Amino acid sequence: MGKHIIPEGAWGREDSNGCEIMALRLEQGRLDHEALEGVRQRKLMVRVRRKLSPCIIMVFLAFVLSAPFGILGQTELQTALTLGTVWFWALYRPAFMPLFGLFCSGLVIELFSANPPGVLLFWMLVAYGVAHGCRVGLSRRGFLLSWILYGLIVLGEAMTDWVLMVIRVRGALSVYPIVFQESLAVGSYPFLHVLYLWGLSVMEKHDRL
Amino acid sequence: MVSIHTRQLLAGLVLPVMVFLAVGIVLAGQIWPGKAIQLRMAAVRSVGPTYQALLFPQRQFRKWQLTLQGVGDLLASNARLRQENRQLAYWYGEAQTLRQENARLKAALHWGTEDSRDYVSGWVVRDESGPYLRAVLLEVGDHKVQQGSLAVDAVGLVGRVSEVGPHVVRVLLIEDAASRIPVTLQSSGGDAMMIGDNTPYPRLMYYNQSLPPEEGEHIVTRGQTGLTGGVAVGRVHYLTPGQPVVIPDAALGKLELIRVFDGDFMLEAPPSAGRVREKPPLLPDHRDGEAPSNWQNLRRFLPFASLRNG
Repeated sequence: MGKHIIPEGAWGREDSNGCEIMALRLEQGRLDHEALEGVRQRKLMVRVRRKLSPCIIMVFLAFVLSAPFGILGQTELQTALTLGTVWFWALYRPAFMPLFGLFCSGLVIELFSANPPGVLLFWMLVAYGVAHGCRVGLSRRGFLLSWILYGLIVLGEAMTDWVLMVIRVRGALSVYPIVFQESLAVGSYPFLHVLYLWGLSVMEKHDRL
Repeated sequence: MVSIHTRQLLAGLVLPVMVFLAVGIVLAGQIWPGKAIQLRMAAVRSVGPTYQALLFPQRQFRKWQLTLQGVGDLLASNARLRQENRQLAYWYGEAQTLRQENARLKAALHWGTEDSRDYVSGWVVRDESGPYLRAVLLEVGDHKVQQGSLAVDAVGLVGRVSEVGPHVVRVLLIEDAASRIPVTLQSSGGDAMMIGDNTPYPRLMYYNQSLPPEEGEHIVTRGQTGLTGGVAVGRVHYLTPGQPVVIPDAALGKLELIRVFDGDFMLEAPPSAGRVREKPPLLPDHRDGEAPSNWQNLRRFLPFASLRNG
């Protein structure tokens, strides 16, 4: 009976003992409520993992890059990776990047950021909005356009930082930090893109199993 | 129950509301930057141990890097030392050759006696320093040490021997208020007197006013009767303008092993040194190996006696 309701391959090859027991029960045709509850829990876990993974990765990267390693361009890289993460997941898998999770992650990241307060969060939301709005169009145009748009978003963030710092110090500042941040972000995005694509494929393969 | 249309409308409003909140945070951060900094500081403080853990591999790597660098430096300095050793061996040979040549030339010139210096080293057995005295007792064994001999440590002058006992001598340190040591300023060549005042920095006095001691100038003992010259003493320092003091080279606060010059250097100056006799003596005061006789003086007044001088 159970074999007709739920496909056998859905959990027959799971490593955990619980799933093996469930598979055994299904083979023996003795599906009960306990097995159904296990299936439900597993689905819930997959959903939670999908919803939280990008946000957790983003917070983790921002936190690690806020440690005083003394690496050149560490702060700029933190901003670039954060915005890159938002951009990628909002563009290719918006279901993995819920808006509420993004906002909360942004608030946490703001605590470990060195930028003027709120700017990174604002541009994370802008990146999310742009990616969400242009998703269909960008998927047809290919990677290059999304890369350019990402560069523009990072440029906006860097310029906002610059303007706010100019207002604070009440004097002209060098534009070199903007160029540096833009170069770093644009240069690092393809690697981030490839890495996230690989992670996405691994995650989907695992969920399919 | 909320309709689908309302739900979609609300969902569409979430992003603008969040953007509005973010703008509010930006404005708040600009208006009250201190609060934002405090908040961030508190967050960083709370995750301090985690940062330590994150930095541990980097620190460990740097430590290994430094160790490897040290090993590399060690190899380089080892090679340099070998090179220097070869050069020193070469110069040692040269010095030996020159020494022999010097001795040969001096022998050809009938050079006078060589001034030989001997020394004895001993452990400081007691530190007698107090509020009014700066001295140490030194064990020298059976060596015969003369009063006034200079005492030095590994670096510079420590003091002079003030009392001599059977096995122990007392060395009056240069910082003692009773210490008076003539010194020479090495750069200017002028002389001065180093006078202790029971402070770690003896004063410099009686120097030529046209050649005042310069800051950082090195000073050595002045060679004169009863005092070995050229022994490093210290460097000049001005605590206040016009009051030069000496920062001793020797570690006077931690004296352990002291060396005392033990040579027979107390050369006696000839009588009326520095003056020219108006007339040469008619007769020698006394001959070698003979005791001076009062009768000899009377012979000066005997005009017809045999005159051997003058």
